Amino acid sequence: MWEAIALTFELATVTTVSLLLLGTPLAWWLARTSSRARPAVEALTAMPLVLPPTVLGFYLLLVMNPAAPLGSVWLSVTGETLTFSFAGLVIASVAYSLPFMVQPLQSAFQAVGQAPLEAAASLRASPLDAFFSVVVPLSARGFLTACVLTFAHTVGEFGVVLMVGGNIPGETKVVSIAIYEHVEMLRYSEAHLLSAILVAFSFVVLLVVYSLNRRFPVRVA
Amino acid sequence: MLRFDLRLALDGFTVEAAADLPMPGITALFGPSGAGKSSLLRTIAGLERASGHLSYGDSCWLSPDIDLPPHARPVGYVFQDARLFTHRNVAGNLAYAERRSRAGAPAMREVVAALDIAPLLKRDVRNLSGGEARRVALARTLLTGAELLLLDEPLTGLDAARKHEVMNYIAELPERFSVRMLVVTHSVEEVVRLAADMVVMEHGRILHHGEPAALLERLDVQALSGGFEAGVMLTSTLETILPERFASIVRIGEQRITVPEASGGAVGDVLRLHVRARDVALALRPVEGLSIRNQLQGRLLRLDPMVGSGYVEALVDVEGQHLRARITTLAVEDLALEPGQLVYALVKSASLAAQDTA
Repeated sequence: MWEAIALTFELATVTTVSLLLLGTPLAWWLARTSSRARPAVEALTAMPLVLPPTVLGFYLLLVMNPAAPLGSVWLSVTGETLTFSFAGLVIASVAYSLPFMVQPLQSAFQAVGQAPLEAAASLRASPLDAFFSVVVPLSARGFLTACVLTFAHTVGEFGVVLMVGGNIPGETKVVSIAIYEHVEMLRYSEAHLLSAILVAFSFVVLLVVYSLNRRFPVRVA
Repeated sequence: MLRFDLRLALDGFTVEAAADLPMPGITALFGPSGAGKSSLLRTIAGLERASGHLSYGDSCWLSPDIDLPPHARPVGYVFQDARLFTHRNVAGNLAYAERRSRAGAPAMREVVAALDIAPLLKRDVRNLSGGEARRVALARTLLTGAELLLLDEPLTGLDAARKHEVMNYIAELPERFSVRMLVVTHSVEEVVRLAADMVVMEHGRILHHGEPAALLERLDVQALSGGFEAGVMLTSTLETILPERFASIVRIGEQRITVPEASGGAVGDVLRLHVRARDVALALRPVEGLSIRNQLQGRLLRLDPMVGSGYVEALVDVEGQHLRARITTLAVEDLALEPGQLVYALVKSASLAAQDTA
């Protein structure tokens, strides 16, 4: 049981950090661009909110299997298959939780607006300097919301994990899968315990988010 | 020193402005709302993308081959809404500028002293009054060490007392920190108080450039200020200070008038007076038994009817300087006023904004 919990939190942590690095530039671009491609990119970003996890998992499985480009490169570099591995789970989770990182950040960046950036530029801050010295601190709550939601959403995923990760203890067997397995085998007391832990965790996380602010919600959820 | 020939297309509006400004101390960029003053200022700072040429001293900021981004232009900008960083307190805002300052920038303590910011340093910027926020914004910009400062309506939205307070600080800065300023304003009073040079803008074009006293006499320039404040600038010499009366006596040529006490002025100082046309009446003879104490003898030069109103603007020569009086058409007829006549301009002393320009 603890193995599954530890794995779940490891997956959520790695996913959140990865998405922080990938989602921040994407959210910044979406918040600032006047490109005509923006609606299309926004729609793509929001897709995981509406697609059944099985659909996302199915395509990820196609991309990551050892015969596909991504899967074969991974195999030749690491010697391991991407499907049914922890690395594969991270990639799937990054795709699945993308809107939970990008949307709150995009709203936060839009709320900062142009004025503080112009002020920073007038004080000789380069755009990158201004981003870290002005935008990030002014968007702190947006970052917090985005990270907490991404983390929590990754903890709660099931379908995508089942499709690309399967059920390998210590490697891909996260809490949600473990609960499913316990129920299948009629081990209700274990299922009860794990479920209660997730319920409590989710409540605490959302309580934190809603107590801190209501300003940067996920819009399509 | 500041040379530009710029073209900037905005939503349904084009700014096309060219000038060669010597930039002595403070230059006023004057004109009605919507004239494109702020847009021109933003273009100079690089905040709006424009085509054309722009150079300051020897350095070129904009040409067909060069377009320095805003953070690389050696210019400071004070925004109308101050734009202090809300995630930092006053000291933090100043430190932000200090950390990124140029070589030779003034020291923090000098700037803090010049703008009396020491009591504000620990304050949250969201709790500052309008006047305090402007002072902090000025200090923050000074700390960057820029020689050229652009001020976008630094006094708009302040009440009269705060306005004078901030104006006094601004007036001191060019000499104290060896900076030059281009100040956007639509107030005649601010021009009179601050400016050594003046640029007049309307409809995105520069109409005039020259001495404030000469430009403010022009009716077409006056019309741009909205009429209410319209008037002239007179140069006078401070002759006597009457502290117990809170008044000073100043000399214009050979004539004397009383003005409200000039703050910090010394006998012999040259004072600029802003005299609004609506505060001046005309008489054919010296008048007695009147609360208006100031009567200046002069010769009526011209009568300009104000189209669409019952008023006439009279231009009077007083000791070689020009005074404007707004009087009714009926009064002109009753007194049979004609150019060339000797008249007495009655000036309400309270309307004189005496300022030390030394």
